[in-house]
Amino acid sequence: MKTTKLLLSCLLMVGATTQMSMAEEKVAKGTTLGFKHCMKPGAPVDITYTTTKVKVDEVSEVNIILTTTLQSGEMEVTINLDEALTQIDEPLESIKFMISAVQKEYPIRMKVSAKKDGLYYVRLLTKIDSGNGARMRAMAVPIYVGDGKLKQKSRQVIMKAMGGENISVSKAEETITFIEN
Amino acid sequence: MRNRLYDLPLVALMTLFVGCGDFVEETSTQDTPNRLDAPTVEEINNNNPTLVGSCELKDTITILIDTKSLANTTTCNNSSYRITVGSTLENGAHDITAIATRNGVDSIVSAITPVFITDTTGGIGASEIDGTVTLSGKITYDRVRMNKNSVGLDYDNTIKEPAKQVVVSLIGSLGQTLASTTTDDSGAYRFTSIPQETMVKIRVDAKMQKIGQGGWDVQVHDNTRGDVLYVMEGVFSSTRSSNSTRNLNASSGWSLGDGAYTQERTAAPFAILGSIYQAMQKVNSADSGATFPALVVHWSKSNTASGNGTEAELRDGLIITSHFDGKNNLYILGDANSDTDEYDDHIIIHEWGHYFEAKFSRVDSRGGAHGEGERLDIRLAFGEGWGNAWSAIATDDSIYYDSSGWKQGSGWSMDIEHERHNTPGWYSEASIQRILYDLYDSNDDGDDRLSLGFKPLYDVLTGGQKTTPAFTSIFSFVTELKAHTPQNTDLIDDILRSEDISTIDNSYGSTHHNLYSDMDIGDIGTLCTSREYGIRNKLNTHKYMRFSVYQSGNYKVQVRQNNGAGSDPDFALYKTSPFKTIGEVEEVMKGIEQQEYELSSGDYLLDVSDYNNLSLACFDISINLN
Repeated sequence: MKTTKLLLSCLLMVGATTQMSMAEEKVAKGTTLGFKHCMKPGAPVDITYTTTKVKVDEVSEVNIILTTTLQSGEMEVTINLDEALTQIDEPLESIKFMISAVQKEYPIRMKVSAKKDGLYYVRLLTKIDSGNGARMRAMAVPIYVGDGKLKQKSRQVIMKAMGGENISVSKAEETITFIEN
Repeated sequence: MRNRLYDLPLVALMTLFVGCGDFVEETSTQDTPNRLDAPTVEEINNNNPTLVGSCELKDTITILIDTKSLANTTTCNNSSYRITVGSTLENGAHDITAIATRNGVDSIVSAITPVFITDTTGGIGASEIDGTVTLSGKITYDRVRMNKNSVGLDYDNTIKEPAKQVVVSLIGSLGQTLASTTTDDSGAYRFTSIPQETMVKIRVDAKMQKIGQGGWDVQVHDNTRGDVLYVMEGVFSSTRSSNSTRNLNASSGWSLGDGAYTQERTAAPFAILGSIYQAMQKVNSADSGATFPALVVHWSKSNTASGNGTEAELRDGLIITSHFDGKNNLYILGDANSDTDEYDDHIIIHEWGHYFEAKFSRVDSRGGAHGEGERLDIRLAFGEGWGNAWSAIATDDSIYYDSSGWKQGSGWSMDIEHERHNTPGWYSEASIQRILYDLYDSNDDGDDRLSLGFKPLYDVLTGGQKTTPAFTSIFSFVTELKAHTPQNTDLIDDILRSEDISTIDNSYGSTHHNLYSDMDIGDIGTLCTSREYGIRNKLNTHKYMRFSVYQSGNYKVQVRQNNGAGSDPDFALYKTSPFKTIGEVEEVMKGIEQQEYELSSGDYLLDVSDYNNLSLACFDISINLN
């Protein structure tokens, strides 16, 4: 992937004028365009996003651009935020775009904040019906707050088996029956 | 004695850190070994245990089984030893000891490790050996079915499915593995000759492992927690003095009352393995001796459809979407209330189909986003059409579904065989999935009067399609299939015709579209890419140049725009026999791309694209011997 170009386009999207290295630290970026691995089928839509990495209670600017190769139809986008995220501007739950041959990019902009460190998500579920049945594709935009680290709640215990392998242990539902000889 | 370099006294084993992360191990200078762990059983296959333990560098390790010395020895390496007994031990209790020898003279003996060898045969009932019992049971997992309309998961319709061919271990009170086996296709396992009145528990690995020819090794790991292997365990409980059953079930973790996942999603890794086993079984129906290269499935409840797929992001669960990475890894979504795929068996099998294509056949697809109704690059169209068709072939269920959304209650589905045609053609993944499925299925309908089953498709995929000098596409597949089953040529053409594809008579599709051009070394070849049907991986965004090298040497390959400015050409070079990638060039350069290669004589393909996606970009191609 040509990372330099991707970064430049992201910088343009947020209007950043700082040096590239600074932008890399403060902006999270992502795109499905150019992804070279085999992906599961779904709605023919790609996402490109930038979000500003922020501290607790600071506002993260979320810039999303959806693109599709379709030239007609309707794209419905359902938006969900992690509970820890608060949308600062007018709440968006669902957006509909009429797909046209002229318009290639469908933007969504939001402002969110959080009161705790962590890695959070703005989740999008896109649904496109081009007249041959609906297709969907889920997408998620990461919001890095404070340390920006993934916080997992898990009852699974990680331990090293005697063979040396690290394992994540969950409890099974178990029934034990003794058979009288 | 003192070390000249560091002027430090040497201990028996000393590890010195040098720089960041590098280390060297110093060999002991003492004459007598003084550290040797009792053997731990790493695994037991067919009553043949593999033993591991700590030792001192370069000591020779010998194993005693019930005081009888094994013929094979090993040398301590990286402060540990690992040795497979190499012979079949009888069922029952054995005492295993390790001996470390230095310089052929001095030695020490480890503590004794008691090991109980069992197998999966034999009847249940009275103890076969005095003082022992049989412990058996069944391993299952929750599989959440799809709603009847194939949209969304129906948690009310959760069934217990047998966990087939998974590794089950009997764990002793110290955490040691007393015995291991695998479940059969009903999920059953059995350990015999287990000592009475012993505290043990059952551990079930999210791992299917069958060693050797005709085998497999599939494991499910948590990429967001250090890539640890998922396992589930029962509780420690005494074996008492009679035979017993311990049935273990992996729960979905879903609470019907709360309408949410409130417990660990223990079933998810086992559901993924169940789908993959189903796919492997279908391959075995065509080739019972097929050996499946190792595969690691990375699933986590934190795997989201996000990021760029960098290694750091993958560790945080930003996996873009469920995908095969082209090597030995599947990444599967687990993001509740957005997109989970563990119960979407067609998706698991679709992605596994890409693994199959890569390991058993050949993948030329450039990947990326794709959808039904699009005109795709022929390699992508075939790869994704194959993945979709394969999910229906492996399950014998033509309804493909993908659950998503709030409470996994929404999603979409398609009928692999009967989907209404939308932009059909050789560039359509939907057309290709219908063609492949119609070739396979026994349901004759319309133009489909062919029921080949999977074997001929498997033969072509692992034969002609793997070695074709063209890029893998429906053109190469059909050409090879006709060569494989020439008596069916007309019937194959009928199926193609139903997708608006005229007779295919060569691997390059030269009678259908001008995808390939030809040039000679020293001449100027020309081709044009366009974004008429979209960017990146759509039809016409890539064009291909064929050329032959008759004299081995250093060649300069140059692609230069000839219709104005603004393009950023990239290219990839392949040798066609045997087919392999020579190199890819993706420099950020306006209007030109070039690279030098050492090329041997043979035929080559050059894949040219424009990163800037101009509406029309035409290029002069030159390939010259330096």
